[in-house]
Amino acid sequence: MAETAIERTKRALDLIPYVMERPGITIQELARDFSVSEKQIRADLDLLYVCGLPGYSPLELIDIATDDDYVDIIDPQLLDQPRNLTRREVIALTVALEALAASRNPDDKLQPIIKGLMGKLQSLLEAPASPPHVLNKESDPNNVLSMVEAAIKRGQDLDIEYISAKSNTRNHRRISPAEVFVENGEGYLRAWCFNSGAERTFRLDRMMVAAISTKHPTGVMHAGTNSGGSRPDSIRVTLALGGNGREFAERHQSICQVESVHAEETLVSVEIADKNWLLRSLLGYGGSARIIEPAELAADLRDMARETLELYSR
Amino acid sequence: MANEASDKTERLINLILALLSAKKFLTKSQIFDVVMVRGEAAYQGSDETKDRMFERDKDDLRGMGITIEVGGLDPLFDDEAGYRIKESQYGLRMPDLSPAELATLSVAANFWRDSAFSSESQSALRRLNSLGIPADNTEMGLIELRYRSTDENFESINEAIESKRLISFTYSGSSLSDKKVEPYALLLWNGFWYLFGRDIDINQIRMYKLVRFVSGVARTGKSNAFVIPSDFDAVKHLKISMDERTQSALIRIRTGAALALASKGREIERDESWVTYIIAFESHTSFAQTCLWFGSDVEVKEPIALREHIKRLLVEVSHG
Repeated sequence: MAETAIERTKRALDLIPYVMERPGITIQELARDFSVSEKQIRADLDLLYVCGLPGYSPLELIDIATDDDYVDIIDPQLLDQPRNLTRREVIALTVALEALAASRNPDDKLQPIIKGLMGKLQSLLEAPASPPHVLNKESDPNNVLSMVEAAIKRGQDLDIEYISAKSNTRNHRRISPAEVFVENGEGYLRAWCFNSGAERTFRLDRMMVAAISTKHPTGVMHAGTNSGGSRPDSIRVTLALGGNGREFAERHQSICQVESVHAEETLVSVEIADKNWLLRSLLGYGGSARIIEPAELAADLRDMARETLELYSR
Repeated sequence: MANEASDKTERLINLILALLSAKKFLTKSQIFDVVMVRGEAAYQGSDETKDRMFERDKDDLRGMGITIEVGGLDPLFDDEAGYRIKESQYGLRMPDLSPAELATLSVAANFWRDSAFSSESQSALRRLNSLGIPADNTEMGLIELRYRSTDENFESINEAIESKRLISFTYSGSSLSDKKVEPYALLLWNGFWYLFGRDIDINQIRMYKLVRFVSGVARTGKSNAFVIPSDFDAVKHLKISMDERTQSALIRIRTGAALALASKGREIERDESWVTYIIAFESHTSFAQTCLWFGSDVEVKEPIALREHIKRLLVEVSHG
């Protein structure tokens, strides 16, 4: 799609103060920073070069020097300042800050900075806005985030105590943390786990204790160890999801494929490696998530429900 | 090589420079006289054509965040309106941004990656990074925000909220239906975007999950078609409709089982095979799912309403 003159005007205007702040920046770096091609940056600079104040004599034109690929602004005319933020940009940044605030504990050291920034952004708006809100459940209940982040920054290993819901164990592990992220409201840590000799993703709310490892650091997390490849034991399951059950497919988009949408139910095909995980997840959706195929798995789910129901029938 | 789009870009930049350099307000005819593109008058054609082009250009500049001042009108004379851009209003006005604040904004802006507002937030960051503030990452955490890529309808709904316009869409709730809604607010909760608005057919405020829209969103009617009630509070509304308030449950867990759940509770009693805990939870729906994940290792005793809810789910499944 061809970009609009407006998009191009904005970029051209923004290039001037950006280059002035970084004299001698290369065309390549500008292309990277503005997410466009080098050819586009050259065309933008060529265009700016013929723009200027009324009169358009050489003294009134914007002057840019490009020596090989190095760019310098000789005369910006009146465009030396970065353009003011638009209302949409202020709203976009406000929501982003709210999301950042929601991902951290209330007493986190970033919270006052975020609050101050939100106030500054609000003061830029002429008419009040009702920007979208962000709410989260507490993603770091055990207060391990700051320790984890410190370890990542210093390239140190961590000793953690972790509860695995799958194997129902609580044990010590030594890990080399790589990155922390919040996905769908849940906080996670991706790390190399020395105990299992593989990359693992840990939930922050199941990490009971975290401390910087006293053993000598192993350095950076082993990168690029994504195993990928084939999953030999995966099976294909067809589900009928209706009402609240549709949330299952919404939560697990990456493994779900919608087969057909009906007024009351959606048929979804899921590829899974661990059928126990599927049964446990489906149980909580009641009748709104049914297994259509394979029939044995549907029977397993019914058995699991009956067995649990015994607890509630006394 | 000239083309229409690059001519327009050149015209807009030269218009901005003309208005920025004006000591006095410039009238439209003065603007038409002085602003050039490739050596020729930028505004050409009949008076009407030129007027229309200029009006559109003004709107475009305002959309870029540029404030155009209108003035120079003398009420005693039949003067033309004049225009100018004040240098102080062209430039980015961000009161005393500290290096730590700039770094915080950079991390936060990741929130929008690959989604509706990603170009807005990246463009804003580039300009904030042109203010001459040194970068500072020492106080920064490395947390990355990953949310489900924003829904394609997000932007049009947000626009409709801003302009207070009615929207209509097809929604897959308990069944498929067409909705006509006064949009009040968007809210991201536990990883999903929700719209709050008044369903005008039933005249009630409802919440809609954006992933359950099965159509695009059509904005209909005029701007400022409604007023958001002053006592409307999206967060409060969510908590009421989700029955989201912190309450506590009494649950039994088989000894040594369901450690992930047990670690969040407070033990109050134990016998040979079961340990009883008090545990805080917020929503019946999601807490029931959490407990049922552990199958027959966990039994919810109280509150009764939650116990009944779980029982109902289990009966449904066992009848398959």
